Amino acid sequence: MNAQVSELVANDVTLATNEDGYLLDPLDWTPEVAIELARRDGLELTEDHWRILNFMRDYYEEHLIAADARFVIKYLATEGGYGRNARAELYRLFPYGYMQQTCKIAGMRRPRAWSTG
Amino acid sequence: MAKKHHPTPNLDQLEPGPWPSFVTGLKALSNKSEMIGDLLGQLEHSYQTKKGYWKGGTISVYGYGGGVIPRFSEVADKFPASREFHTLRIMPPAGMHYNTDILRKLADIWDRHGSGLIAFHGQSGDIMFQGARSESVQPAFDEFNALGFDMGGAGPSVRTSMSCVGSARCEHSCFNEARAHREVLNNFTDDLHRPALPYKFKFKFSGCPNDCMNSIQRADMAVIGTWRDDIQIDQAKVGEFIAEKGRNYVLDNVTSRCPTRCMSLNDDDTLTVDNHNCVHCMHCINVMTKALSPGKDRGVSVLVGGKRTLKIGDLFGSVIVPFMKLENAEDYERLTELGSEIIDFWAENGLEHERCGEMIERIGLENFLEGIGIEVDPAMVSQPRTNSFVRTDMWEEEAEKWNQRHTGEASA
Ligand code: SF4
Ligand code: SF4
Repeated sequence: MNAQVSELVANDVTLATNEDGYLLDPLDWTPEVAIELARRDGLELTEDHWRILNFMRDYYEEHLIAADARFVIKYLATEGGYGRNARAELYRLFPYGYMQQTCKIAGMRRPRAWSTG
Repeated sequence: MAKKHHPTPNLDQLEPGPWPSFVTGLKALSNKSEMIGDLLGQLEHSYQTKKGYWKGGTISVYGYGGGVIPRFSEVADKFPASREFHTLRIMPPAGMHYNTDILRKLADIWDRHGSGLIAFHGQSGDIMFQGARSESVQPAFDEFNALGFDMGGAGPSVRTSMSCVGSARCEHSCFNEARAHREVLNNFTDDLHRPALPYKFKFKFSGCPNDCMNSIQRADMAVIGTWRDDIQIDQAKVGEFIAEKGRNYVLDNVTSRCPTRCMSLNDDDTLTVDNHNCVHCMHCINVMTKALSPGKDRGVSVLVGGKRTLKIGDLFGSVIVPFMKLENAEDYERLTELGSEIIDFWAENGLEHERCGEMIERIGLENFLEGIGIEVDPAMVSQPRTNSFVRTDMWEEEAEKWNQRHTGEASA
């Protein structure tokens, strides 16, 4: 279900997204793309957002998959210094959820559908 | 209020017969909900083409990462009213107790914001409010929330839990299921609403070994009521039972069906149970409900690792705590702590999409027990002599260690 049904213009470049607005190719991502995706969600990216997005991009470059939420939370807990409040911090910055918002703005492909059972 | 009804020749076939039919229910609802009318149309279309036409998506409510199951129709051009048919999972109260006032309010909210279709309850244990448009998800949730209900789980998170009706109505209950359910789940609210685990994690609470919640097969951590003294026998009631049903009935249906043959019917019409060999299967107690009941020294067993098929086939939970009391606040705290230990260890060591039971299979039960700080106990294995996993080559040393631990505990 990764057919392009929509597109995104950032920095005068037009990129393909799926119907939910996720990039089809994570390698298309640039900081300008993130700013545009965040704008669509009504978010203004601050330094705190960028710290998470950069971590996720680094993770993607190394592993070629999106980081699990638990790894981002762990990073915030340790290197970010948030300890037990790391998850609350993640949701303060991206209140509609990691898969729904953080992954999208970080340029990940849409994660596979929820396991619902 | 004439609504457009699609012809549904295939679905109609599901209506005759002695049982209530969901098709009849949906048809009735379609008189006031256009969404349900088109839903029936799409379902009929699916029956005819033998294909499903729902696809997922990403929808959530503010502050939550899960709990909404988005459903978008791929045949919305034919059935426009049900083009979005999302489900909200809302957690029921422990033991699923409601009063009619609350049920009415829930139904009213769903008439206003959704299709009116509600499932009490889905297999996941949630109330499933089915059929919302994208823009209705948040306002519907806000109203449920204002009534005191909260979102259920979906995705890689702690899931909505289930507890049996137990002590509220059932004479077999061996602990306060509702309290255990609430105390444990309240501790994991964040893990439930903000998915950040390797995969799903389910707690289930059954009041006795009948396990009405199927927790052995379906819960990553199952808490099942049990007892450690003798089955209670009311011999007068045994006599009444025999007077009513006859000796043969008891021989055929009770004693000879005891899996360990540990019961006997005496010549004077009393029953004897060799409790040491009783495996608490509940059979005799279920048949002779007045004469037999669980013992008086009650508590719970905790099992870990049950799940349905995914990476590897279905697994039953393994007993990791053969018996613990669940009476005072500290007992409940210990149970909650055990849950935390297990989840923390699995979150740290589980692979992506690996259930706790699958991780245990991969790393070995012994390593898992060590990881969560539980000592191996012979009572974890019911039949050591016939269990191929039991090794006896270091028997003496292990027995010595066990003895030392237990004398240590007794003198501590
Ligand atoms: S599990 Fe046991 S206590 Fe709970 S409802 Fe079933 S029979 Fe009763
Ligand atoms: S509970 Fe099961 S094993 Fe125990 S005495 Fe009854 S039938 Fe036998």
